[in-house]
Amino acid sequence: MTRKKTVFILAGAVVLLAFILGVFTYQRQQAKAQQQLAQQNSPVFNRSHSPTYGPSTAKVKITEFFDPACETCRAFYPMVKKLVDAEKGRVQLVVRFVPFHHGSELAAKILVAAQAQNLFIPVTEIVLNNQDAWASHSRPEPERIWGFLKGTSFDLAKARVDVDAPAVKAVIDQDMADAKTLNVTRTPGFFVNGKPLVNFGYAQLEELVQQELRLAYPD
Amino acid sequence: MMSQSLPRQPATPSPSLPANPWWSFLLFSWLIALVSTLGALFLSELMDFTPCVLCWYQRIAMFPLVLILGIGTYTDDVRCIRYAQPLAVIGWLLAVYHCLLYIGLIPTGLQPCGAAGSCAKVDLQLAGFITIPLLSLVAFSLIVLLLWAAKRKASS
Repeated sequence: MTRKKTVFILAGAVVLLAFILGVFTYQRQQAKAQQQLAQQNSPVFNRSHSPTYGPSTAKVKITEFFDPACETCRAFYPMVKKLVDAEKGRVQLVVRFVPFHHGSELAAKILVAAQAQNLFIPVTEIVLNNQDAWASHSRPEPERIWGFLKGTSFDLAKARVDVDAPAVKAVIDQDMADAKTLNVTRTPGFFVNGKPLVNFGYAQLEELVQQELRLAYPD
Repeated sequence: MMSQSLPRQPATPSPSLPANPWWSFLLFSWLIALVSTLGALFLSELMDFTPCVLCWYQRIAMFPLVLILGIGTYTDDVRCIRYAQPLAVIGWLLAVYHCLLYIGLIPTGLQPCGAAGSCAKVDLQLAGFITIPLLSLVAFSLIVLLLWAAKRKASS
């Protein structure tokens, strides 16, 4: 190899190494900042309006910041449900609404209305199963959700009144405000007993839940 | 007798002597493009700054320079300047326009920005005056100058 090629490769390697180091340092800093943020704002994890899945006596609570139009939220839904089911009463899921996508606010409001009728899980499943049909990114048609819910035990007339109620809007507004406080900018955003999921991924979420289970149920 | 002891001039310049002086200019321009590209990716992918339309146009001019100048520098090929120069000049013009927008010399009504984020919104300021368009302007200016100098040296 000529001297020039060596110089070229060395110079490039130095820049790349500096970049990788910068990325690493920045990510560690961000993770620490988010942990501190969550610690300082523990009251935001106690909102009585939120729909839950699993018993309230569970000592490990997964808080999920959820957008009904988000594909990753849909992909995580069955896995998170299984995680709660598998722990038999030791884990509870708390759902917070952050309709970041254009057009998903109505979907979130329908889910809040479903919670009022104690149908949160079945309605959520229908909404997520039909996500492709109503949640197109360029042309969302959330009004179509009503059609998918026809013929179920969900009281549509009551729900249509509910989605316009200020109380339902207040739930979404509060959840959005809490997401802002915790610096949740993407969905799904997970916290387990108030600890943020720093490295995103299902295996990482499972690991965080297991870690909290060991702390909450030492035996 | 005397003439025999004098060292003979080589008929052709030895390959090790004029280590083409433009090469280091190319190397530096490549490094600037590389640092700028990585910096832009850091800002958008890690720090979550949404690039505005003008930022995107400048990225279109900057990102290929890493490859063009990189390959040119590595293979010692002066002709890469011909391909890199137009990109660098276009990027420089965009950066000038962007900076003028930023400091308010061009009314914001003229900006070609969509929903992605306003080109005139000051997102990041280091040391009070260093903004993203200014960094871009500095990078493109240096690349334009270095390429110009490299071309002059190569043709002389």
